[in-house]
Amino acid sequence: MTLEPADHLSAMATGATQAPTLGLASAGESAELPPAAPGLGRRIRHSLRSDKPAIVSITLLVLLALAAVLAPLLAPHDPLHTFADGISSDGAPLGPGGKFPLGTDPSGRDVLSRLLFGARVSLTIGILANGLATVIGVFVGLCAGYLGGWVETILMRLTDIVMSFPILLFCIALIAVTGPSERNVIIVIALIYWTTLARITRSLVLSLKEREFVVAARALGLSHWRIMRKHLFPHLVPTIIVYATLGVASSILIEASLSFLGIGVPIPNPSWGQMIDQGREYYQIAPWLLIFPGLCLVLTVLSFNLAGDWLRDLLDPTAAERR
Amino acid sequence: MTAVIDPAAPASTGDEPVVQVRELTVRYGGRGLFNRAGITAARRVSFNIESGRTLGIAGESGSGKSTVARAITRVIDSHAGQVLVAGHDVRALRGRGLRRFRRHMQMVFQDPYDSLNSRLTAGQNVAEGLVAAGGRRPDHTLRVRELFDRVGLPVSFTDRYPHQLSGGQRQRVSIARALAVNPQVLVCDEAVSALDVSIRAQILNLLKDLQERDGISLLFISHDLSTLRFIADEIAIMYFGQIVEVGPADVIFADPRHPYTQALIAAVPEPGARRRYPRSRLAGEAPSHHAPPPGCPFQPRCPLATEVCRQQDPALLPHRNGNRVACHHADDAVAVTAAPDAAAPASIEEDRS
Repeated sequence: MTLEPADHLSAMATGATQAPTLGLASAGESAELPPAAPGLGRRIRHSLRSDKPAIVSITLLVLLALAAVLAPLLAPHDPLHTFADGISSDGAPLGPGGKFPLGTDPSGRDVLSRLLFGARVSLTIGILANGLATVIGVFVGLCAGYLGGWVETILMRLTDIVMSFPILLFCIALIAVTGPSERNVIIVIALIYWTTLARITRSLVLSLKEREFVVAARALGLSHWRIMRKHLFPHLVPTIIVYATLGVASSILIEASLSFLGIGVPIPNPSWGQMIDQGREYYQIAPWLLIFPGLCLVLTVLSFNLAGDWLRDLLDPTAAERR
Repeated sequence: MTAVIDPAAPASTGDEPVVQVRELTVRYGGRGLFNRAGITAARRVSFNIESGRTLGIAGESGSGKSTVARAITRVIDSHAGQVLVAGHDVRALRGRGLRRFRRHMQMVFQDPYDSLNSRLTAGQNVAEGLVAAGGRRPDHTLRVRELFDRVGLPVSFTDRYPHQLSGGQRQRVSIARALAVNPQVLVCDEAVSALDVSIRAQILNLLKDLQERDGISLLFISHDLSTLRFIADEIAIMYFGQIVEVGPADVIFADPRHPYTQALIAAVPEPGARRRYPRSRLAGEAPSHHAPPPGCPFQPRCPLATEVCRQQDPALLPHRNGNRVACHHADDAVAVTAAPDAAAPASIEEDRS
């Protein structure tokens, strides 16, 4: 172990403190050095080994993504095709089993195939809409919280205005103008959902910017942009990840409501939300219509949350140490 | 004072103090719709810091020490007065000019656990100073190593995160970050108060060492007079936002004229039995900023207070011992020791046990 070069300084100590204790203390200070921080790759492997829920949820998300990408190969039938033998003689949908592993819907379409193709729609909308909302919200919140003054007033009043809109009415109005399509649904959901994150981010920034390291960064003369990027943003990441993963679920559900109103993903393309809404009407005679898409939605949302927790801990160097 | 003329130095900056503060006043609040009152945290504060010298500011919590430090570094805005640092009118600077000015003056903060960005390694924290100074990026690794060496940290520490370092080591990193921009003035706001006594002496020695080598001026803020005695050339005592006494460090300790200064010095623990002033305890607390007392702000707690103190706020005037003192009774302030029972109310209590 090398001694600190500072030791020669301590020998000069006079006045208020007594010199003899200093050499000992400085040796003690340098005696217990923790090992250098491990690299990201090693931290990922290390933290996955001890975090069982994270392994399960990440595996699920990977499988889900594969299912969505490989839907045309995995699906036993065409999701849009109405089978004549998909409906019983009295016009009710068929239960799981046989030719249709997860049953059929009231129009005689295969539920499994629709679920697989629906995963594409729901995941795309959930992730993209929420990603876009997060980017907008964090940017607005950061600027408002850090810059303050009239920038804050304008941005936060804008947030209040958007928040005060009734969500569905706002969507209907926007989609009536732009026309229903997957892209427009994503944009509309993002335009509603950024407000919560903007407020959360702003309140976090307001307390962060009084911390000494941010004051120090300002005193150094760093640019506003760099302070926001390097000194504020990394400290927001844990909270953003938690809210963003929760938001994926909300976005998928909002898409369901829009589909229910006929202004979401154009019928007859399947999405989970649409399937749940349809299943709601038949849950007494055909519970599988509600159960399977509902189960998919719950598992997806749960996986996003657990994976988000894991990611938050992984990105926090102090949390990584505690494991 | 002898005027030493250095032929290498530019003529204009010859023996000009590097920091000149005139009548600096800082208010908090008072701008909102419902809260118009506000408080005055620093009132007409004036001082100079000569190049390569150290001014210490002492005072109890809420006396305005940190407010002054933050106002002259423009971390907060002030409301009146003039601050000249290295020839720049600090209060008039805006935007880019302000950012460029900041490299003349740097701060080291109190809390070593909060003053470094925990998401960056120690080396990256220091490199932020180099980014601010605008150097070439490829040189940064080398410069960071130099700076670590200068503050007495092993170069291998550059890859450590702040939470892996001790308080003293973090404070060294803070100092290295401040030095990265080559400042002429270093403002230390309670920079050693959170450290163990032994580590404290190391950091103080480091600062002294850097000052001797680079001629940096220090503004050192502390509530601890023994720390200031060790590092400061001049000491200013603040009370309720005002400087009540200022002078050379040895005179402040040898012949304090303001009763508040005397009380602070009496409170410094000293080894041995010798004690020039009885250990007195200041009763009560500093007055409320929302209801300032009439006259001298120290008057409600002062053993020497008379009618004139309750009516007139004393000005900071030169005393014959070389200090400047804001007290109507600066000449008979020794009465505290001479006749503790004279006319003194119970606000300073004897404790000779």
